[in-house]
Amino acid sequence: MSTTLSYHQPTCELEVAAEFLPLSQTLPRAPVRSLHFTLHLGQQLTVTGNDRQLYRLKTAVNTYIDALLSRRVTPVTVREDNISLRSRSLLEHELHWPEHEVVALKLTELYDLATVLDDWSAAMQPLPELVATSQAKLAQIPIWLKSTAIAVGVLAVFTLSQQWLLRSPMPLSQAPIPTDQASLPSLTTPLPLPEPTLNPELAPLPTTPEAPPATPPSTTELVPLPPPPEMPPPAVLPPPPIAAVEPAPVPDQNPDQNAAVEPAPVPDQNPDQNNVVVESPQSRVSAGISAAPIAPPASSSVSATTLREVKTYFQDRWQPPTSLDTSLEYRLVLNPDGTLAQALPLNGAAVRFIDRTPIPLRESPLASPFGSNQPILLRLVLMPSGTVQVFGES
Amino acid sequence: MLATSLPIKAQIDLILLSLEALAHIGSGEVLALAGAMGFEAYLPDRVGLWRLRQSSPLRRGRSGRRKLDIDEARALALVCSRLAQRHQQTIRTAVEHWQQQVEQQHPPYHDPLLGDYLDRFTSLYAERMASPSLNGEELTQLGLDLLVDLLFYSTPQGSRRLWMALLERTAPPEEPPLELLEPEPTPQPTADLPTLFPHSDA
Repeated sequence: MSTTLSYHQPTCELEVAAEFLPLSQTLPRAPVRSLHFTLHLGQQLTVTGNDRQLYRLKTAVNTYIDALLSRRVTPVTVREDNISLRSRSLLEHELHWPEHEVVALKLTELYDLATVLDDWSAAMQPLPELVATSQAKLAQIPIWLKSTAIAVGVLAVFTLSQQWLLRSPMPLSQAPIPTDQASLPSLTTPLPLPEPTLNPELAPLPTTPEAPPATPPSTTELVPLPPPPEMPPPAVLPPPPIAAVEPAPVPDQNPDQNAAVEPAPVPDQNPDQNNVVVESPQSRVSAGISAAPIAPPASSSVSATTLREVKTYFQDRWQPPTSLDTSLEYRLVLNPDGTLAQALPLNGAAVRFIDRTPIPLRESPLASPFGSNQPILLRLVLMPSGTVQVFGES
Repeated sequence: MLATSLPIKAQIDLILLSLEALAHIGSGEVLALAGAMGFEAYLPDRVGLWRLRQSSPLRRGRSGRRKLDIDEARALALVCSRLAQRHQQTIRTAVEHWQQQVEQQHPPYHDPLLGDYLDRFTSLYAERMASPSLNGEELTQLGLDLLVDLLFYSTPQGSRRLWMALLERTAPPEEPPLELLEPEPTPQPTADLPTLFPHSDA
């Protein structure tokens, strides 16, 4: 699921290993995360790093060039974390990369660096943007058309049901109607019908465009993908079955209980990511309803030690960003040697905040080796409160 | 530096002037590109383009438009960055020549390519802009500054950079601190209030 993206300029070369998240067939596959990169700046500097460092470098370079072009202050100095850029003159610039000597960049070298970073960031379309465009396509359908479609649907259902009701007592007699004008006149003269029914039916319509989850039923074929990313369902959905019983919203406890119930409905051994994303919310709901008997075998497949080790790893490192207001859910695939094989974000926030999480690079050790010869699946929940939940999946 | 605090219309006119001097871009190419980008409404013909460019306060005569609206400015800025991208190789080559000249401690205009650009730029500027004009040295510096600008406008994110630069350079020099009304005196207990709003989803 990862690929190497290469960008070349005469004095600069950037190679990025990026991870793809397959989406629905209607959307192009876009890399969602850069795992690590190698940057060659002429003969002077070759650096490697992770996605966070690459984002910092991009931000530093963009800010620096903007400052250079604004011509407000000279010399221009920009610092982004431990990466900094400084101008010596219009043609000479300095790049300070941590633990390396200062690199002198000519203007053309700075240009090449900016160009490869531009190219890379253009390819790294974050998931929410794609979703936004698909929703924008839906939004382009005028509201009146949606309303009309729903009204027609309601009318059709009403008419059909009336016909059905009418047909069962008297199959052939479509005689002039004594009480209900429904069956025949509706096809030719819809006027008599709507007046009593339409107004009450139309009233709730305006709410449907506002609530995204409600729209799919009416326009299913247009929106194959609305559920997964934007909503925070993974954080919000788990409580309902439990919340019905105990309304006390203790956020740390509910997922725990959920953990015991959760793993059952995911039967696949090698995770097809498409399933991962699309199915997870639904499977969670079904788990809440009828999963209790299936749960025990699933949770037994991951040893308690592994769970504890992974949980400790993240507990030691997870520092929730202040802007985070929802839980982040990831599916982790662990190799038998305890290293990370893959980390898949399961909700929209998880995609947006992935570079703020302590999830390490692929092949980094997360736990001690466990005896099995098959990789295991874990669910990781990072909460805004700083709490970490880890539980096994089948 | 001259281009530091100029209105957007003057800056765009200067960018087009430097493209004209460096890559010999005429109004025909500008109009064709504007048409291809769907901006015929703002740049319909040579007269329309000329009138927009004449809105620059630096221009001689000032017989063109007095105002440039935001859509016209945006269209012109996008056309400028697209032109820069199209002529990226020419721009880059000129900058490389300039770097070589500086390394060899020669003045830029000793290089034939750069000398030609600076000559053309200077004469176009003198021909079209009103006096009091800049002296030769200042004009050379302006031409070289614009070369640096063009180089970055030719990057993949060049249009964003150009737009940011236009806004930055027209922003007031220093931002006065926001002085709002005196906050109402708050009763003592409310000092703790902010901590009562945790950023949580509970």
